[in-house]
Amino acid sequence: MSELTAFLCAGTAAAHRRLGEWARPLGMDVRMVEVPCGGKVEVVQILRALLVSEGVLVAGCPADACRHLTGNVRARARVAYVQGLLPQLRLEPQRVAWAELGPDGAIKLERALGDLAESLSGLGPNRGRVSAR
Amino acid sequence: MGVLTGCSDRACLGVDLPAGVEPLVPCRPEGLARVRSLLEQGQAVVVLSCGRELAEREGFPAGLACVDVREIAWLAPDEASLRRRLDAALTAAQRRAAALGWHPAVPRRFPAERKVLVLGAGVAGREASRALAALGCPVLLVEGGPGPVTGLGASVEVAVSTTLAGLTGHAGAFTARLAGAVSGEVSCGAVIVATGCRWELRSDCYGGLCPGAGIATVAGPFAAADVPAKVTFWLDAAPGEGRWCFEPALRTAVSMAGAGSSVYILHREARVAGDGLEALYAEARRRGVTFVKYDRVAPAAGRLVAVEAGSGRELAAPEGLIVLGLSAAPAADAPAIAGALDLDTGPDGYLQADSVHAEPVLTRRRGIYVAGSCRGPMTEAEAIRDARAAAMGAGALIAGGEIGRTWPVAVVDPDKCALCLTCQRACPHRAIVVDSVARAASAVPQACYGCGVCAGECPAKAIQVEGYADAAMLAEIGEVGR
Repeated sequence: MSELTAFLCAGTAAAHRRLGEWARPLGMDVRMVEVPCGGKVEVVQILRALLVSEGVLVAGCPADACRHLTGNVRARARVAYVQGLLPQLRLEPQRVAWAELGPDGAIKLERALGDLAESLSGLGPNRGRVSAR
Repeated sequence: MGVLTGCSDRACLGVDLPAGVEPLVPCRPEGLARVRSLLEQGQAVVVLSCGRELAEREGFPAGLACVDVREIAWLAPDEASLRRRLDAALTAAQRRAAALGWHPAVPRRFPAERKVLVLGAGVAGREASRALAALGCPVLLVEGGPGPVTGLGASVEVAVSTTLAGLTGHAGAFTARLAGAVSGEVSCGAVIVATGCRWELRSDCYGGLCPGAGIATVAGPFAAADVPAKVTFWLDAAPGEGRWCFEPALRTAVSMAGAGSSVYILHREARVAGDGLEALYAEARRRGVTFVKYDRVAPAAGRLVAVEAGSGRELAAPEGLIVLGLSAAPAADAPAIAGALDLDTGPDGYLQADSVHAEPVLTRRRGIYVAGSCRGPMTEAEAIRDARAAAMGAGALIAGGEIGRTWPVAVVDPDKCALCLTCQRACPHRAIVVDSVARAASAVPQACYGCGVCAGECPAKAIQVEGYADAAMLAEIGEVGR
């Protein structure tokens, strides 16, 4: 069972979680970390999550729909930055993913987590991981 | 590990608390006192209850984590899933509460000026002023035109031929600079922008027709006495027309048809996507109004005719009194107003509420609201609804004479602040101010939305957000090196 960390922005993702899509079993161990806005997710936090899990998903609002105007843009840029950084650390960039959640975010979040888990299954264990959860 | 406490009201919570949980009722004074005393002793406290309001009321103290057990209980499909999810939530909360990060107390209540500045004395501005007066807020209604503006009651002060030159401060304590007939500075707690939009007749799209004998526009007055025998509403030939033209045309058509006129409405699209418009359309049909859907307008034998696109067939020619649609465009001073208020204009030039996630009348700055056609053309009914919503928003924020904070805010550590102003540039809500004496930036709690965009950008790691301190977040992500 793949262990994932998901950063969920309070604007969309956490709201969807409250709507109850997690009533369905996901079939994976996901640690949800709620943040007030995607712009709050920092590079160091994404890297830290990679030390303790197999992959990281950052989920925020679609383009032009961030309540804080540019939080989603910043989050997306940081995910891209980490993806560029990982090969230098001999890690696979696919371990970090960004997901845009709209009004149908419940399905999208589930799909994004599923996609991430699937791409991770082809990679083998995370060599950068230092501890179990 | 924190002290585990939980609401002992099982009927309310809907679930039995796990073993080892100290029972208390956090919404009763004794329960609250117990939580406070534990926090004062420097203990981390996890409260299992029915929401996060406790953290909000207590000002997001470090060391307090709330788990919404009732929500988990309601949403869990079965007992095993409930226990699993409860365990996960509890572990996360304990980690978060145990990470006692740097976290100075920020006040919860701030005095607020009760006066509201309303810009624009159109439909929306007058309605907002009336609604605010009913809420007990004094209003200064500023109108750029010469007026007069009357009939709004004693608590609405009116300044005509006056414009807003600038605005400083934040929600509850704005200072507006006025220019024109009334000039000088005015203190206000909130601002409602209702400056409307510009309506213009695009004669070029209507074959050069201009208002005059036999030609009017949808905004023009129609006296009951001079209801013509034949009237043609000619709409949709110009860009910028929409239901805001269709609605007054329909309304007038219904009354004219009722008075015995034969009425034609030439349109490209029946714009009925609005409250009551479908019913109005049906009423017009019932009264014998003839709707003609055309594709383009072409000159024919010295007059204009509406033509079907494919066949080129002539459908109808405007007859009798011709009433033309008006194009809506952003007011000429929209950029100036946006500049004075530090708001954005949207891609089409209107002052828009910036985000589809915010409520429509909210702007990116707390305490500044946009109502009516200044944020996009709309019908009168829609503008009135907007104005009431904005007035309610402003009233809820400041009518009590103070702002009671229920949101987490960013806190800047002045010792770490290097005054690089990155936070000020990044802040989407214009909440960051720079104290030149302390030589540090700070977030104004009344204006801050607690989004943490500044905290994410700060190169010196000098900014923490209440409830989302770095230490608490790292603890929640997971312990390293065990």
